[in-house]
Order: sequence, then C-alpha cells, then structure tokens
Amino acid sequence: MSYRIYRAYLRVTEQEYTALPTDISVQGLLSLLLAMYGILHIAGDFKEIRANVQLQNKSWETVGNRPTFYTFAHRGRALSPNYVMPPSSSPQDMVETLPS
Amino acid sequence: MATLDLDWEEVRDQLRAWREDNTRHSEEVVDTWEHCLKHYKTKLGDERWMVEEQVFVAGLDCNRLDIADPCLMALNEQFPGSLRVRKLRAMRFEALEKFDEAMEVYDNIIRQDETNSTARKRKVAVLRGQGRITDAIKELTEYLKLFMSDSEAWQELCDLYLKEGDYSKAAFCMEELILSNPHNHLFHTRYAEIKYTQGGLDNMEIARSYFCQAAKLNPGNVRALYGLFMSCTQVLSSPKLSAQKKKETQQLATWALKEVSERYSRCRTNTMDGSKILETLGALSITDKA
Repeated sequence: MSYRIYRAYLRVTEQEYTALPTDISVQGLLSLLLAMYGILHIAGDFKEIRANVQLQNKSWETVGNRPTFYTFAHRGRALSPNYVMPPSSSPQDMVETLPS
Repeated sequence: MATLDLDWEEVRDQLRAWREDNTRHSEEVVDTWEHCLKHYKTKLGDERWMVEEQVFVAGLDCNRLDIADPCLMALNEQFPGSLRVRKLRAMRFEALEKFDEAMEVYDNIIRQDETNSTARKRKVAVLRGQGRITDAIKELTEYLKLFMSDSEAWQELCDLYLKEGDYSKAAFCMEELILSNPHNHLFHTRYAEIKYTQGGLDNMEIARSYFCQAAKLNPGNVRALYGLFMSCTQVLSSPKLSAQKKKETQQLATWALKEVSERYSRCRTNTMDGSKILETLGALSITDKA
C-alpha cells in the first residue's frame, strides 16, 4: 500500500525509481517478523507424522468407546444411591416356597 | 470423595480432556461436577453447554437423575426446540426404561430431519437396551446402507454380531474397520482374536499373521504377543503342515514368548515373574492329566 503511494508520488514529481526507500523496507521486514511470531504462538505443537504412534498407549477401552451408542441398562445402576430394588421375587422367597 | 478443594479450572480442563479423548468416566464426572464444578457453572462461558451435556449423559449412566435433570432443564432453557436437546430427553426416557416413548421421540426427530444420524444410532441403542439384539442388528445394517463410512457404527455392529456368536459376520465388520484404519493395532488384535475363536487351520494362520501385524505396529501390545504365541502353538498342533513352515512357526512362538518374558522382567512385578510364563500357560490348557 505504502509502496504504491510512493511510486505514485515519484511519478508525480518525475523522479527516477531506483530502490524502495528504507522506511518502507524496514516496515515490511518488521511486519514479517511480527506475523511469524504471532503465527508460531497461535498455531500450536506439531502432531506426530506416524499414525500408529499416538495409538501406542491407548487401550481398547478408549478406542472402542462408542458414545453415540451408550446404553444405560447395565449393572452400574445399582451402585447409585437412588437405586430401588425391583419388586420381583427374591431368592429367599423361592427358597421358602420349595417343598421342605 | 471430598473434592471440595479441587481447583475448578483443573476440573474443567480434565472434563475437556475426557471429552476429546472420548473415554467413559461417568462416575468421576458426576463426582467432580457435584462437589466442585456445579458451583462455578456460570464461569465456564461457552463451554458450559458441552459440559452440561457431558454431565447429563454421565448422570444417566450412573443412575443419578438428581444430577441429570437440572442439566437437561438448563439446556432446554438455553436451546429451546433444539433437536440435540430432544435427543437428550429421549435418552432420559431410555435410562428410565421407557423405551417406547424414547422410540417415538427418535422417530419424530428423524421425520423432522432425514439426515440426522445420531437419532438413528440411538434407535439401535434402544433396541440393544431392551435386549433385542437381532432387531438392533437389522436396524444397524439399514443405517449402514445409508451412512457407509461411520466407523463407530461398524464397531457397534461387530460387537452385536459377537453377542450373537456370529463370528464370520463380526470378522467382516472388523475387516471394514481395518480397511479404514490400517494403522490401528487394536483393530488388528481384535480381528485376530475373532479369527482365533472361529478355529480351524486357515483361520488360525490368518490370526497368526494379524497378531504379527499388531505386534509390528505396536511392540508394546502384550495381548498381541500372547495371541501370537497361542495361535502359533495351535498351528503347530495341526497334522498337515510342511516341515519348513513348522520350523518357522516354532521360531515365531519362541520369539513371542521371549518378548513377553522380557516385558514382564522389565516391569519386575512380584506376582508375575518373566521366567515361568511357559509353565503358567501350560497350566491353562485343558488336558486329561490332572
């Protein structure tokens, strides 16, 4: 942008164009360094190229976990304080109904 | 577990790590939410809704509806009429074993949005929760005709076939998964285990080669090394095998056993000494001698 303004100024004043003035080149260089610094900080770490390395320490529990297919009909229900025993016949009842 | 002194930011980061890692830590999520993060709900910003969803599912998993219901109400207030929240409400029905209402809600969602894949997958989960495995398999195969590249669905189908004992179809599902993720040693191990279970010399040789591949991809996979040793011994016990192949298989078996004992001796546990592995494995075999 400032380079274009400079060229226009030179054309208007009929001066020869030899090289970019120092302040514009310094400006360009500084903004390049600033952009590089900024990108390095935002971009984050590199990921390992070999696809199998990040799987080395994973077990089937994590990889085989399917959150969209979770069912809640498992024994973990009984561990909660809200668990209510189902009113079906208990083994004790069955024992008592056995012929003695 | 008194976690009142946990830093809420640490808990938030831990929950985020679990979300990204795709692991199931329902009890810990419920505990940390109840004792710590619940009081800092408003400080979570945009992340709050993902955390609420995570806590809701964890609460349903642990049968803690007292934790799950407030989360659902908060989500409903924030996103009224959202299909995702409606799916969560249907999951709540599932947890209460009201499967018919849950199915109705999912059918409504599908009618409203034909491309919604999660509602279709939840229908399969409803059938599985009811114990209707064959219906679940049928529903899931219909789903896979529409959404062919969903690797989670292929994993679920493989699991359902294993529950039914249909090993050849389960092996087919595992093959699809290996095709899409050839670098994953766990898929290779599981496929080899299915082939080992099917039995017979051809399946045993296939199992042996896939165990080899799994061990090559991840030398730390002790399960694959054990599997390699066991499939090699099975192959060796078959009568129709050329002498050169016998020698190769024997070398492979001894190498696998050596690797396993090396790993154990590196860990140096008291219970499992690396040198006695062969005897321990021999004790596992079902033979006539007492």
